[in-house]
Amino acid sequence: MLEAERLPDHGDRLFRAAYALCGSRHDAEDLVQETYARVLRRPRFIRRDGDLAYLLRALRNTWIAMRRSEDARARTVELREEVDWIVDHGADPGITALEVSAAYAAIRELSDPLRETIVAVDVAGLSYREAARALRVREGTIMSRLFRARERVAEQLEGAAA
Amino acid sequence: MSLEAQLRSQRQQRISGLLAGGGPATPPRLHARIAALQRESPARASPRPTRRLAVAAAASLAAFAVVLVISIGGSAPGGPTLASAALLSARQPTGPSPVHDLRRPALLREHFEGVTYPYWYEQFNWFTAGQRTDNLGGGRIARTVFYRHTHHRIGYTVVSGKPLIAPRSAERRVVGGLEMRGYRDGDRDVVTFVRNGHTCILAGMVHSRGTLFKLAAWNGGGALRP
Repeated sequence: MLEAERLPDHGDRLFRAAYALCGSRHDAEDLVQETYARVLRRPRFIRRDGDLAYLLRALRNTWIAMRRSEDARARTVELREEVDWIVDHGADPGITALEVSAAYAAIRELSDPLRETIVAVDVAGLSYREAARALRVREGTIMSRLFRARERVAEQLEGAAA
Repeated sequence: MSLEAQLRSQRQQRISGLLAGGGPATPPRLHARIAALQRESPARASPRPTRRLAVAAAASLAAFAVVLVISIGGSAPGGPTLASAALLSARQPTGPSPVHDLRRPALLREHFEGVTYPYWYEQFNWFTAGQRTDNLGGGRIARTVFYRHTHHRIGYTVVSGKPLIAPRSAERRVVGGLEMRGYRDGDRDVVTFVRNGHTCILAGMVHSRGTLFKLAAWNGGGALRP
């Protein structure tokens, strides 16, 4: 059974994934909360190590549903929002919060398939296999999309730095 | 490996490391909301098989009681009484908990007949615990949102149609322009008031009726108007 006790452990990763998908703090909070509400409403049998992949799939489906309903009504755009950027302990000491935020901004420019893939693997930390299951594509597709997504993000960062 | 392939591999690793090594900080309030959702989850609080029969029997009895009260106790011909509507808070939720409206922090994303249900968790530590909708007869529909705090549970019921009449003996309090009436009904306390032209009822077993008055009077910083 999906263990409700352990789900909040994934809150940080889910929020990062949601932010990378939506590009807005408020939308990301809404998305994570709605995802948890949906998942906890209907508990399922999940392998013990498969809960993050399950949550990410639920997050993606919720994101698609929320975008559909947003298209049907007037969309609100936030003019200014504050987000605190953090660099994890143990990460490459050369990484700065500025670079991380620029990388997230570059993700926003990707097409949906590339964005979902890089979010699943690099942001949420799923394996290729888990990402393939979560996004319902082949592992080979994940690998090729991930390669292209990283290349585009790198190009964006280099373009911004030049 | 060619130089070009090596550079490409380094670029790939650099992006992977950047995204794995940092990100936006999760707002603390989101953690609190996830914890609240978790507490309300049926995955956490599903009844054991041995208790299910007892729960089902209790629910059936409550349903029978409501039907009985509705059928014999109406002050308006064919319509429900305040007492029958207040009894809905003793029944089991049949729907999921409404979620917090992040854009209007004092409210839930649930409304009925123009009355939006309040979000009491941050202010009072009452979290949502499901909802139900009932047909009370006489063309009246009632929606109840349940809230929990420690082992107490109350229902916030909104009844469609004209306001129902409170007992004449009910205690009267006015706070911030909101007129409330409170009374005891068996083992439950009831506080009723009118919002947007409809009867709202807070009912449940609480330490003191004052708790219900306090919750009813809370205006959420102006988000809930009398």
